[in-house]
Amino acid sequence: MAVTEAENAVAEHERKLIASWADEFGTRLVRAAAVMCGDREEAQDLVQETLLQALTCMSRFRGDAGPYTWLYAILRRQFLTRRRKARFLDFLGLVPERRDERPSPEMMMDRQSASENVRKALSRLGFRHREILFLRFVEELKVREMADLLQLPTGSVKSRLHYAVEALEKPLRRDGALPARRAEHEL
Amino acid sequence: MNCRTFAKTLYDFQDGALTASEKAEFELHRSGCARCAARMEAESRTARMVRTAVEDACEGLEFGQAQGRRLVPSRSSPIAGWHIAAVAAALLLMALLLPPIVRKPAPERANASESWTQEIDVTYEAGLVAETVLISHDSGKEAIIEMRVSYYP
Repeated sequence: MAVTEAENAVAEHERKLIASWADEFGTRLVRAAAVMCGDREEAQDLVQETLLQALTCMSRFRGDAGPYTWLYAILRRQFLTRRRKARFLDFLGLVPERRDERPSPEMMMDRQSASENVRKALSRLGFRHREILFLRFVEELKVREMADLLQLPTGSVKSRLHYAVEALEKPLRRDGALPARRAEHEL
Repeated sequence: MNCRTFAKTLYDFQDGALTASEKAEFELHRSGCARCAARMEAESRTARMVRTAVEDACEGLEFGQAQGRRLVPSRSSPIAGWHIAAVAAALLLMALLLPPIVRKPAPERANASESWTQEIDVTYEAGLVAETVLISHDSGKEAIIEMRVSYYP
C-alpha cells in the first residue's frame, strides 16, 4: 500500500514537473519544432509528443543537462523518427506527394516581408543546417552548448555551422540580398 | 595569427572562450585584415537576418495554441494516408468475399411504366460494412444512381 502511494506521489510530481516545463519551455520548443518541420500545426504535435515522451521516460532524466536540452533532444528524435517513417512510406510508393522531405520553398512564406529571401533560403537548406543556424543565431547557444545538445564534438559543430552559413549565404548573394564576397572584401 | 586560424577561432571569440592572449591576437589580426573583418561583419549580418526571419515566421506561435495558419501548404499525414488506403483495401476485400445477408427486396409495383426510386440496404456478414444502393426505375429500365458504403469500426 505504502509502495503504491509512493509511486503515485512520484507520478504526480513528474506530471507537475512536465506541466511546469511545458509552461516554461513550450513556446521555445514549438518554435524550434516549426523550424525543423516548417509547419505550425505539426510543430504543436511534435511538442505534444515530446512532452508525453518525456513523461514516460522521466526516470532517465538525470539532470546532467538542463531540462530544455533534454526536451530538445527528445523533440529532435521525434522529428527524425517521423521523417524516417515518411521516407519509408515514400520508398514503398505509398505517399508520392512527400517525395521531397525538405520543406517546400513556400515554407514560412505566408507573410510578405523584408526577410522573405532569408526564409526562402532557410527553407531550402537541409534539416541539420537549418537546425544549427537556429540554435546559433536564434537560440544564441555557444558552440559547447550545441555540442552537448547535438552529441557532437565541438569541431564538428563549428564545421557544420560554417557550411550552414555558406549554404545560406550562397543563394542570398546570388539574389543580391547580400553583397558578393569580393565586394564584401573590398569594403 | 593568419586568416585560417582567425576563421577557426571566430566562434570561440564570439563565445568568449579565448584566453586573454588569444583574444588580443584575434583582435590584432582583425584590425589589420580587411578580409577577415568583413567576413566577421558578414556573419553578424547573416545572424541578424536569420533571427529576424525566424522570429517573423514564428510570430504569434506559442505552444498549445490552436493554429489556423500553416507555414507550408497543408498535406495529409503519411500515416493517416496509409491507414485510409489499408481500410479501403479491407473494405473492398470484404465486399468481394463476404456474402450479403440482409437485403430488402424491391417492392412489387403494379404499374411497370411508373418511374420511381428504390433504396436497397445491404449489410455484409461481419457486420462491419453496410451498403446503400439507390436504383431508379423508369419505364421498366433500372439504373444505379448512387452507392454509399459505410464502415463500422
